[in-house]
Amino acid sequence: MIIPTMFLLLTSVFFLMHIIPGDPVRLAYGDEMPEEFIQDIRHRMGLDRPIHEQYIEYMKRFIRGDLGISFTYKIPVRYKMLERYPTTLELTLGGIILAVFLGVPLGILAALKKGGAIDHIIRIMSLYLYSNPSFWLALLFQLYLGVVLGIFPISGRFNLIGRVPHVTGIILFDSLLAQDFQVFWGNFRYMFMPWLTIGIVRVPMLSRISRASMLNVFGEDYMTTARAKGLREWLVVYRHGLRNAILPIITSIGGSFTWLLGGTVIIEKIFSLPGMGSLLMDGLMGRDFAMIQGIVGIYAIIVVLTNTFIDVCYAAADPRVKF
Amino acid sequence: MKLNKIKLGESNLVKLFKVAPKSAQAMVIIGSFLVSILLFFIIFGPIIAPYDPFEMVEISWEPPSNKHIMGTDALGRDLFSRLIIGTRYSLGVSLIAVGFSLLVGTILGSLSGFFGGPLDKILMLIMDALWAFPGFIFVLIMAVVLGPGILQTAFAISIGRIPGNFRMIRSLTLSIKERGFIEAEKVMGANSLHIIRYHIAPYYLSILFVTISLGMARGTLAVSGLGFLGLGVPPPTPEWGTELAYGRVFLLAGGWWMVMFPGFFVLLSMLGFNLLSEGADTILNPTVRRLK
Amino acid sequence: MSLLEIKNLKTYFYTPFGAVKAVDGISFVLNKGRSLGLAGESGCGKTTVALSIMRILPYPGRTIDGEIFFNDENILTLNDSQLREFRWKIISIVFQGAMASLNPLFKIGNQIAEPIIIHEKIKKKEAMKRAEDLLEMVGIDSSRAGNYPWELSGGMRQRVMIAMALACEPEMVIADEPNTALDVIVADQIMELIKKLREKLDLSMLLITHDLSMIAQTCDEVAIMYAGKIVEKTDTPTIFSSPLHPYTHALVKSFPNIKGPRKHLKGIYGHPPDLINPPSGCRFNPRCGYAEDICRRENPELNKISKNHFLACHLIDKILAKGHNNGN
Repeated sequence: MIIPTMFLLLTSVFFLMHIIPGDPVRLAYGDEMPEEFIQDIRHRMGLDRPIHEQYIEYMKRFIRGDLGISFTYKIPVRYKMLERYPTTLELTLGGIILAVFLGVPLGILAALKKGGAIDHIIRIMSLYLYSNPSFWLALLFQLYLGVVLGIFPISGRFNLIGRVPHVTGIILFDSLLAQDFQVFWGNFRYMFMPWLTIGIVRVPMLSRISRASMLNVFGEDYMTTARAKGLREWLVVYRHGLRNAILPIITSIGGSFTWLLGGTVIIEKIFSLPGMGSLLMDGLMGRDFAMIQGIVGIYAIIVVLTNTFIDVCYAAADPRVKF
Repeated sequence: MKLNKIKLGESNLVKLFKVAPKSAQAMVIIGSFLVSILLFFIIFGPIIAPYDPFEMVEISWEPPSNKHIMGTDALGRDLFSRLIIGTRYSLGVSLIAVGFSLLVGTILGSLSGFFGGPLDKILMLIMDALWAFPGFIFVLIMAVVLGPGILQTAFAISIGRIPGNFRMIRSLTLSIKERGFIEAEKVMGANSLHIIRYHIAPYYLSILFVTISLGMARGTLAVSGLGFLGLGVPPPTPEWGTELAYGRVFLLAGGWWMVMFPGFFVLLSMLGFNLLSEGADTILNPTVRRLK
Repeated sequence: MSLLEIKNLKTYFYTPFGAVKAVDGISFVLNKGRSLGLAGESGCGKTTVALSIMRILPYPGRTIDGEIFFNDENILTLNDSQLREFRWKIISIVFQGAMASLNPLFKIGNQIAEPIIIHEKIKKKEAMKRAEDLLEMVGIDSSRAGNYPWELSGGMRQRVMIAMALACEPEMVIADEPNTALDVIVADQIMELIKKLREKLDLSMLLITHDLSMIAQTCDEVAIMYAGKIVEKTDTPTIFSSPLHPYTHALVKSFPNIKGPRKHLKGIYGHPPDLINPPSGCRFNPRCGYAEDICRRENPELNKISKNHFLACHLIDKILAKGHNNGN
């Protein structure tokens, strides 16, 4: 499934790019440059060859890992992306961790207290949260938490990140591994608002699925069997209930991660985070085909890897699934 | 099982409403209320807006006061008026997007379900690829490719919703295929029509309502999101997201109202449509009713 | 010596449509070492009796009246921790539908061992050994303890349920429709297994079923339930040789006889009663060929008419005198 999906995505983006009006080279170099210069660059980049030739050439190079040269930055796309992807990954990971640790327990709680006041409160809060546009929340947080209360810095990343050896690229983990708490905390302060904004809007969805899954499991006969055996109630819920309920939740987390990836574009822009989302925006503005295609490709790879990982987790949790 | 015998006549809808849990009733009522405010803004916008949204009444930005309830934007235009008129654009584009994605999704879904075979396989592949990929990014790319403008933005947004609608219609078509024709073989052709009318259609119509309502919520969010990024509906059109983007520049200089109020309008719309979909879903969808 | 004594048990389900009187005044006694079959149509409340005894009623069910004595202790008054002690160790239950009653994520060995570990606080290894022995006892190879429920056939799953029910060596076992979804041959094997185990372990058993032939095969006594009440109770041979209650009579006669001349099968006229608004008077009166005025007005008590024969019917004298005809 990986190959056809990626192939489809890359192909469609490629051809879409070439429909866009606007000459990327001209945009990159400005209006003052003479026309011959522009044409020379175009020729050297192979932009004056027929489209199908360009396409084949691009796909061949992509498979070898050569993603082309960025017009805007004038360096290979690959380098720029290697520089930027850790930030996006960290942003998305932090967001999903926050969403899961908030959403899933809330959903389970709502299921346990179904029909009660807590259940209703959680559902109302969820609906409210869900209706907030994340970019608005981000701005409000910037204003109140950042400026008015001064707790968190409003943009950018922590400046001492380079001090920590690169293990995963995710500063959240690397700083813990290196036990450098100054870096950890510094990073945390800068990333907290971005994480909060990107994750919190997904909490309602996870909480709803957790609740529905738990309720579903509560209706199953094996729960009655467990109770009849004389197990304490919490054991019945935890051992027999949760283990079964977690399965759809795992799948849903995968879907949420993918969704969060899409949200990185706006959040990175608001908090001036140097990630792939802002890179994509730059690329789109500058009609930088290579960059755009490269980023789409990488996002696609991330999505595929995530789904595979989720499938593995699911298979590990559910013995009925063969892998 | 009751649903099978219910024809969507007025009295039956009212009955369903009355049987529903109080929370669902409240959601539908509040949701409808909010949505009707929005409709009111759309229809009577120019009449109730205190100022001309395009006219620069003040010299520059002014905080909220008696003269301007929500203050003015950076160019001195009354924000409240701009936001009221903006309802037409933010919601209008969303509506077009919902309609378009429903249309395409329905056509493709029914063809795919009906004919099956290679057509089905190819379409499923395309839709799955689209579905798996973070939707907003594709919307973003389409928005850039198509350029600014109302129709272009609507089209770009609709792309994100097509796979979902496609799947829904396809599975519906498949179930019709399974049930309708087999029985139609035994009895005269009128039977499949009967099945569609009494068994499939009520179910579909209730799903349709929720789909549209939910689509409006997500669509409005997408329009504002694009507007915020500088894509989508171009200035000087007072779309909410675009207003938010402009206001952002002045946020740290003290112009909080320019950010607060546009976002607030988006929140209101989202709340309205989400409440409506949630409530309607509980009332109309029988399996969901049992869980809740 | 009575092991289980139920007095006037009432369990209702409080639904939005009204209170479903699933068990509406049931009384019977089960003596040690004996087996009682509780028979009746689907939906007459038999399973609810079992759930009430174990106190695992699903929402919105509640036991609102009556007493359930086990060895002279009222189960209904036990507190939570006493109840947990009591469950499975004193009375255990074999549910119908083994597929849904076993947790698909856990191996069967673990599921059988689980109550042993809970109740007897022995090491897991020892519990697993006992689980394997139990599997052997019900005719499953112990090497299959590492299998998951969905890896077994329906018959084997039912055997697992039985093994699981016997894990803590209970004094009494309730079997709720143990042969649901099993084909006849496997069903027969299961019944033979149950018989064998009962003899070997001197178990008391409450068998709940709609299948009278199963009761004939395995039970000492029978109680017939209708619309939440017991209408007749006696020992098995008597119920088949001379069923007194019109309903029992119709039930027994609805079984085709392998021997003898061919006859039309007789069903029972009418439809199952509404448990929210049951018929006034005797619940069976709309379907009873003998119904008279008193039957529509008063609900008959369960009266002892001979040493081990209880009957709830106003017209007992007429029936005894004339015998049953083929009246509706």
